Amino acid sequence: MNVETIIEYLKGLRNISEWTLETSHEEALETFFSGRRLDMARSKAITRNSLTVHVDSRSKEGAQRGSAIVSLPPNVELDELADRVNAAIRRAQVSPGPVWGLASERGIPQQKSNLQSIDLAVVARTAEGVVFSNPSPGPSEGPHFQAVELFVTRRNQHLVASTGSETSWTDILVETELVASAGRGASEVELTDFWSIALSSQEDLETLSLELGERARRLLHHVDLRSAAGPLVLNRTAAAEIPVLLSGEAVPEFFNPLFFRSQAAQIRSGACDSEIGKPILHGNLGGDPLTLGFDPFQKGCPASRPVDPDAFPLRRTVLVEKGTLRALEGPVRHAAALSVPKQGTCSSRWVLPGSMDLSNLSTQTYLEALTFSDFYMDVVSGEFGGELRLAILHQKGKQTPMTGGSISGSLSIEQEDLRFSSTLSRRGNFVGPSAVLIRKPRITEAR
Amino acid sequence: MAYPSAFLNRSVNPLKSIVRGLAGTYDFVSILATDCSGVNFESFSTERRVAESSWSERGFVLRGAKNGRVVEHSFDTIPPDLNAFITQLDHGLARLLSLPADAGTLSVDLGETAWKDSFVAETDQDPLALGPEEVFDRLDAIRERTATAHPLIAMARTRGEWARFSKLYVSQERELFQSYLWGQAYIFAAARREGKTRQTFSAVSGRKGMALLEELEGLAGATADQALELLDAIPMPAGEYTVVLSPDMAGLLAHEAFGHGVETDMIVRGRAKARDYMGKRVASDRVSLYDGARSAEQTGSYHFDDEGTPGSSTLILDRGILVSGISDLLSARELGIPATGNGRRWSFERKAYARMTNTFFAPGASTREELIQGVAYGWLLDRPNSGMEDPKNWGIQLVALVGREIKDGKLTGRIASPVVCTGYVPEVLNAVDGVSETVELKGNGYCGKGHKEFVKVSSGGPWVRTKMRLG
Repeated sequence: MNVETIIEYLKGLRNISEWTLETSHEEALETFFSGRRLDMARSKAITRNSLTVHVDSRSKEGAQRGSAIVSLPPNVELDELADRVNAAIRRAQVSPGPVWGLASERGIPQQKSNLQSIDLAVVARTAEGVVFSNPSPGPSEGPHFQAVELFVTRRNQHLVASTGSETSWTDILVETELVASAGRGASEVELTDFWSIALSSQEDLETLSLELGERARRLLHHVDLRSAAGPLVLNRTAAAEIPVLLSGEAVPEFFNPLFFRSQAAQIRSGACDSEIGKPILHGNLGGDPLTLGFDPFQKGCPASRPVDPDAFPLRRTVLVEKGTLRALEGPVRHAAALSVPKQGTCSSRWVLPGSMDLSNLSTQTYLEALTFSDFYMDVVSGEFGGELRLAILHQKGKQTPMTGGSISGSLSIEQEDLRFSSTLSRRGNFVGPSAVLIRKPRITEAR
Repeated sequence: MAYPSAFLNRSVNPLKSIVRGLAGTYDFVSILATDCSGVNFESFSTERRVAESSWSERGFVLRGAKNGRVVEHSFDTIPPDLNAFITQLDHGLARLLSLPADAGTLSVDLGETAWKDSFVAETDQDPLALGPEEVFDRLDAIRERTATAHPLIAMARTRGEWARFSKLYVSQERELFQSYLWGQAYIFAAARREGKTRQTFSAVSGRKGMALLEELEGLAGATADQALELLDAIPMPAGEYTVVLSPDMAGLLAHEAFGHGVETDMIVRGRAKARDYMGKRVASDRVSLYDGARSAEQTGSYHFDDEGTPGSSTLILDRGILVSGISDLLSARELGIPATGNGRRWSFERKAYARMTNTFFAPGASTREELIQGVAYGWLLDRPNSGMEDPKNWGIQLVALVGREIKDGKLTGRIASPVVCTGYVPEVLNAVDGVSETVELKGNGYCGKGHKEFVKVSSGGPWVRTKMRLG
């Protein structure tokens, strides 16, 4: 069933007050390698339709609006379409909230794209070439790729609302999972890296090559370091005093509690107690100024999109400015309930850089945490931690790779003197400081 | 035969035609069709939220093999002109087969024996067939009971999610159908005092409908109490300790240690150390470990996997000795071992990998109280939050939300949170010196292969005593 048929059906219904229909046509090429051997190639051609219905009613509390989301697979038949929409209406009727309205902007610029004509095999071959231009796997002990998975997906997205608002956008999402090994036999070690980029034009292929090439080389370098690493063992006194420089995937996780506290949904539910115009965290906030927000047009981020699922036109927004909460991110219904300005939903995030020049750290003693098994951050409490797969102890200019053990700490302690790098990097949907200094971590040694 | 899925019923004949139409060109052809739908209900003090379950999916994945080379295509619509569509699919597979492979390709024989079967699991009252009001009324009541348990409870919410999975597998030799429902439900509670907020949760799961909410109801007071306790939690003092793991934590250890560690596609790719330890001791003789879609009735259970292989029950560790892995079809054929029915896909859109199902430690002979009494100083760990595997290097990370101090064989009442648990897998499992007699499984989590390819699993075990480094 095509989108036009669904829209015609929706227009004929009188018990829906408003609706939005988001459609994503995806075609993909995926390749899976063991070493350089091609284990499998896959393709995909699918469509997703996600319908949100809003149903208004009046009760003793006054006017109310309820909403529900339902998927409409392209293979539904007309009677099933009716069943699914009716089920969504029933669900919306039992979940009433304050009244709010969909955005009615009709002038959202359509994004032009030259990505329709590009062959996905060319993009996949480009990515493959970038990865495999590095050392090949084999009997050598040197770092090499043990397994590689490449996913290339063209996403044609379209959103239409009952208000007449309509927009469409296209990108090509490239995702890679790289597994690198080094060493031999029982001493062989590995590290993995998951990376993604959204291409908005054919010209972005160069960015793909540059970013992926850098990620691939860095992963090989890190696995080489891990193969030479000893267990994380520190002088007991030093362990209590050594600061930790967080880098890599842990950095966006570190900032997650701050984004959590900037979300209208969390404030409305009572999960956090932040308020616009007040400091984003309780207690003293010192060190580098904390300024962060979202940007729907942030280059390379897979979550970048011009409108949110409520058809609300998005723009670059400051959520926290120098430590003070200025605006709330999230569905407009929550903004309406809280009586605060609407900003919309967007998970393409940014954090302004700090003052820390990483080259100035070279004379200091610190532990550089490069890779965790899975960095953990509790967004409610701000408590964090994780097992170290690779760290480097910097001591009087000497660098010692280490592995194992763990670090843990608390944002409530670190917030008194936050230090971020002056350099920026993109990790998935996050553009922000490439490193954060943790001054009072708890370090658990590997033995 | 009429299947309890209108979509699969109207798809079955076209799918058989596609298989027949391509069988002349390819050595092996199969199609998995999925029709899975579910609903996620959430009750907040300020609103009710209802959305389709993220596990909902509906479509097809076609697998073709020629001269040992395997390719796949995922699609969601069968056009009326079936012959033209078969030609289109043939061209698509041929294009995948012609992709350059500079260093060769995997080559396996996917030949099957004949099997026809249909399996429909019984459930209690199905929430998906009820009106949403009935589900919300129950969830609202449990939330309200949690929220009013203490003035310091700042937020309580409840969640119930149910999904029905119907799958049809068609190949030259097989026609298989299965349909089953699973559910999971949660209470989340946050306590706040002087700007400090701590959150916890309780969870239930299983192949159950509304019966799940009866179980959840009994946990409201305890969830609120635990949120309050966490306000006074201390940071975990770093060090190596004797630990008593709750069944949930033991399940997470089983999952990360010798679940991921014995996935045979990881062995084929040279990514799992287990390859060199088959038949060798890797744990104390108190440790036996199972995985299998038919090992238990939980959220990881099914009749056949996403490659048309029957689900099974696999003994992985037999009294400390590593005896078997868990396999998808391709890696089993490459290794020349029987497939265990662990080939699972995130959805019809994704590749199948060797994945866990229901993973758990076998019971021992002690009681929980005896395990605690035997600890001079240590911690009881509960409420698993996350874990990560490292099959190549046998490192492990588990995060527990709650650590309870044990001194001279008794719980002192002191709590640490969160607790990051690490160790070297064989050392942790060889240090197991006590296992309780009752196994409990939970299926509220999901499992990723690395950081993607999520599938629903359950894990569990008895109470287990061992040693780990905590921080």
